[in-house]
Amino acid sequence: MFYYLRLTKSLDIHPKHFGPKLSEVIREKLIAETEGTCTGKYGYVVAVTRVDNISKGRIRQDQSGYATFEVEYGCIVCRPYKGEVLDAVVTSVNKMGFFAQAGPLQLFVTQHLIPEEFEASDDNAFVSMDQTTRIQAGTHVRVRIVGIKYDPTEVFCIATMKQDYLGVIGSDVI
Amino acid sequence: MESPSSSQDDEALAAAFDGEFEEEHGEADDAAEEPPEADRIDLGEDGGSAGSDLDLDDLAEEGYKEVEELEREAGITHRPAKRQRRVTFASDEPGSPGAGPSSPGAGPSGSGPSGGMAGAGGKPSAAAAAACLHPVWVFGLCGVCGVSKEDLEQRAGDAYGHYLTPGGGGGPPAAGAGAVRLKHLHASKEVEISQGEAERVRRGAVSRLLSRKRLILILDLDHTLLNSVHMAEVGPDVEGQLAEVMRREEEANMGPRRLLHCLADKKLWTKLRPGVFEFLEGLREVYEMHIYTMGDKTYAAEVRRLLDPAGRLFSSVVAKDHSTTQTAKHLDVLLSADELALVLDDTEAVWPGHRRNLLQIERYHFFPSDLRKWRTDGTALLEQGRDESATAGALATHMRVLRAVHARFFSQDDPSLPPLEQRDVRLVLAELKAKILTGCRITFSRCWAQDKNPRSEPLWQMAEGLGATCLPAYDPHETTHVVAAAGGTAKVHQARSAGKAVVTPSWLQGCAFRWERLPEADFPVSEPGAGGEGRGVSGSGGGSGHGRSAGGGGAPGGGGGGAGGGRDGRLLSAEEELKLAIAAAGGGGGGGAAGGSGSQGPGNGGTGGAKAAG
Repeated sequence: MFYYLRLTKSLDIHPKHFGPKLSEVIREKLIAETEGTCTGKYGYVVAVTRVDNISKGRIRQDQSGYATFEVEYGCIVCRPYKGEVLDAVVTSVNKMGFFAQAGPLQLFVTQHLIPEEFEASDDNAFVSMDQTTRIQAGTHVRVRIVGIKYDPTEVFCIATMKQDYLGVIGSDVI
Repeated sequence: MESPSSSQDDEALAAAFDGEFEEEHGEADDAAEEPPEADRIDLGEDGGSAGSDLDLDDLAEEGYKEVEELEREAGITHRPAKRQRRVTFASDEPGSPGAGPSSPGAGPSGSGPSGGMAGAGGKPSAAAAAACLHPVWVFGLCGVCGVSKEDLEQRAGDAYGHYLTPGGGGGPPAAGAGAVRLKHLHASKEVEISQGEAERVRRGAVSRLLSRKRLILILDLDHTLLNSVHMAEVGPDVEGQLAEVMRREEEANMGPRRLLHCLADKKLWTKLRPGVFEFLEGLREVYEMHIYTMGDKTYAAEVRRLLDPAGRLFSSVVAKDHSTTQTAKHLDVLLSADELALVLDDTEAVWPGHRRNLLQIERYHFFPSDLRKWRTDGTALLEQGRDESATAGALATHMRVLRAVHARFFSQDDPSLPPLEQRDVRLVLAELKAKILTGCRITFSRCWAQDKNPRSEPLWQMAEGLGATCLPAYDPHETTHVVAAAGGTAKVHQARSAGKAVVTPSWLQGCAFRWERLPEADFPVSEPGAGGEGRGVSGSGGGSGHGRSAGGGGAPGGGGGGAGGGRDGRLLSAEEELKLAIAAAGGGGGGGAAGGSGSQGPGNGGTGGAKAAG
C-alpha cells in the first residue's frame, strides 16, 4: 500500500558545497540517498515530493569539516503488509511457480499456493484444467502477501493465490 | 557566501524555493500544499504494522459476519470445503516479519508439504511455522508459509544446532543438506528446494512428459548450434568476407532466419549453423528443449532471442553462472529425469555423469580465428567460401536420429520394450547406435601400445558401441575390417591381400558422427614413407582423454584438436597422437555425405598419414 510520510534525514555535506547552490545540493543528495531504498519500518521510498525544511547546519566536531543538516521531507512510500491483497503482473513462470511484480515489489507464488485447477504446462505457463485460463508472462493476478523480506534496495514477497477471490484477473497478452 | 547558520539567510532560502519553505516548524500548514488530513496515515514507532493489521482483521471479521447473516437469510449455503472462514495473522514481532501463515480453510491442499498448514486462527506462530515443511525457499523466505529463514534459524537456536543435517521433524528448516539450488529461474535470486520437493517436481515433470509423448532435449550453444567470435579477432580481410556473406543473405531475403548476426553490445559475430531453424522446428513437437551453455547469461539470452524470437521454444536457459561447477554440466539443475533426457553437445568432457545421454555432434567452425584455437591447419568454412548443407549437414543428421529415438521410445507394439514408465531413453539410444556397424568384425593394428588391455581402449569401446564386434587378433575367416593407425604391419598386409577393408580410426569416428556406415574407401591407410608414425605434432591441441574426439567440425577436414583445446607444441606420446588421428578428419570427413566437410588436406602433420578424403 502507498503512503505519504513526512520523515527526517541527517545529511552530511562536504564543505566544497557551501556556496550559493547549497540547498540544491542538499536536495539532490537527499533524493539520491532515499529514493529507491527501503527499510522494514517505512517500506520502499518511491519518490521524494517536497523538502519542507532544511535545518541550520551543525559543523561536525570530528575535524572532518563536514556539516550535518537535518532535512524534513515529504515522500511517497510503498509498504506492503502481510495479509494484504494486491494486484500484480506476472513476469516469468517456471516449474516451481511464478514471479510477479507489483510496483516496486517482487513477488513469488509457489505451485503449492496456486489453486489445484492449474497445472504446469510445457511452455512456461500454468493452465487451468478446463483450458480456459492461463497464467503466463503478462497475466494480471490478484494475490495475498504471505511473507515479506526487505533488502536495502528491493522488497521481496511470497504470496498466495489459493484463497477465495484471488486469481487471474486479466492479461496483457492477447 | 551564504552560510546556513544565519536566520536571515533562511528567508533567502525560502524565497529561493518559491515559498515552499516555512520559516519555522510551528507554522500552520498551508492547506493548499498539504494533502487532506484524512489521507495521511501516521505510522507509529514501529511502523504501526501491528495496529494496521488488527484494524484490517477486525473489519474483515465484521464483513464476513454480515455476509454470513445475509446469506443465511437468503437461504444460500456453501460447500464447507471451499469456504474460507477465517484469515488470521499472528501479530508481528516488532520489526521482524514473523511467521504468520494464512490458513486456507479446510480446502484439501493436495500438495503434501503444505498440508501441514492447517493452522486456524489463534495458533501460536511457532507451531504454525513448524507444521510447514518449508520445501521451497525464495528470497530467504519459505515459499509456502512466508517465514523468513533467518527468523527460523534464530528461533531454532542451540537446541537445533545440527539443523543442517537432514531429518529432524518439521521444526528445523528442511532444505538444509541435499538442497538443490536453482539459479536460473530468476535474474538475481536463487530458488532453493529440498530433495523431497525436487523429487516431487521431477515426478510431475516425468508424468507430464510421458502423457504428452515428449522427451527432453538439452542443447549446447557454442560449436553445436552456432559459432561465435569476438569482433577483435576478426581482421579486415575476414570482415570483407563476412560482408559478402551478409550481402548474399540479404539477397536471398532470409529475414529473421539469417544465419550471420552481429551482436553489437557484446561485440560478437555469431554464425548460426545451417539447418538450425529447421532442426528446432522439426523437434519442438516431440522434445521439450532447454539451452545449457558455458557462456554467460547475457550471451545466452541474446542467442535465445536470435533462435527463438517468440520465446516459446525453450523451456529454460541455463548459463555458466547457473551451473554448480565451473567445468561441468549437470542435469539436476533442470529438475528432469535422466531416463528421459538427451543431450546434444560437441564436447564430452563437460558431461561427466551423463555420457550415455549424450549425442556428440561435430564441432562447427565457421570463423578462421575460432578454428585456430583448436588446430593449426585446415581452413574454416568462411575461408573456403562455403557452408554446411542445411538439409544434409550435421544438424539434419541428428534431427533424423532424435526423431528415430523418440519414435522407438514411444512405440506401442514392440514386445521387447518394457512398459512406458520403465523405459530409459539411454538404452534406446544405445540400441540405435549399435545398429550402425552390425556385422562388422574389427581388428585393430598399431592403435595402442602392446601392453595395454585392449578392452579398455577407447577405440575398442567406441567400435563396440557402434555395434561392431572387436577381435583381439587377426583372423582370416572372421575379420572383416582392420582399423590401423599406420600402415606397414603384418595385419594390414594380410588384410589387403585377402581383400578386406583397411581403414584409419577416423572411419570409426566418422561413422559415429554420421550415424551411418561410411564407405571404407574414403579412409585409406597409407603405407609408411608418407608420414610414418606420428611424431611431434605441434600445436594441434593436446591429446585428449578418452576416445572422444573432439571431432573436427563439419568443417575443415581434419578433425579438431583435442577437446579442452590446449595448444602446446610439446611432443606427444604415440598414444596421444593416435587419439589425434582419430580426431583427424573424422568429423564429417565423410565420403558421400554432402555437406560437410571436406577436403583437406594434409591432416595433422604426419600422423600415420591419415587422410580424410573429401
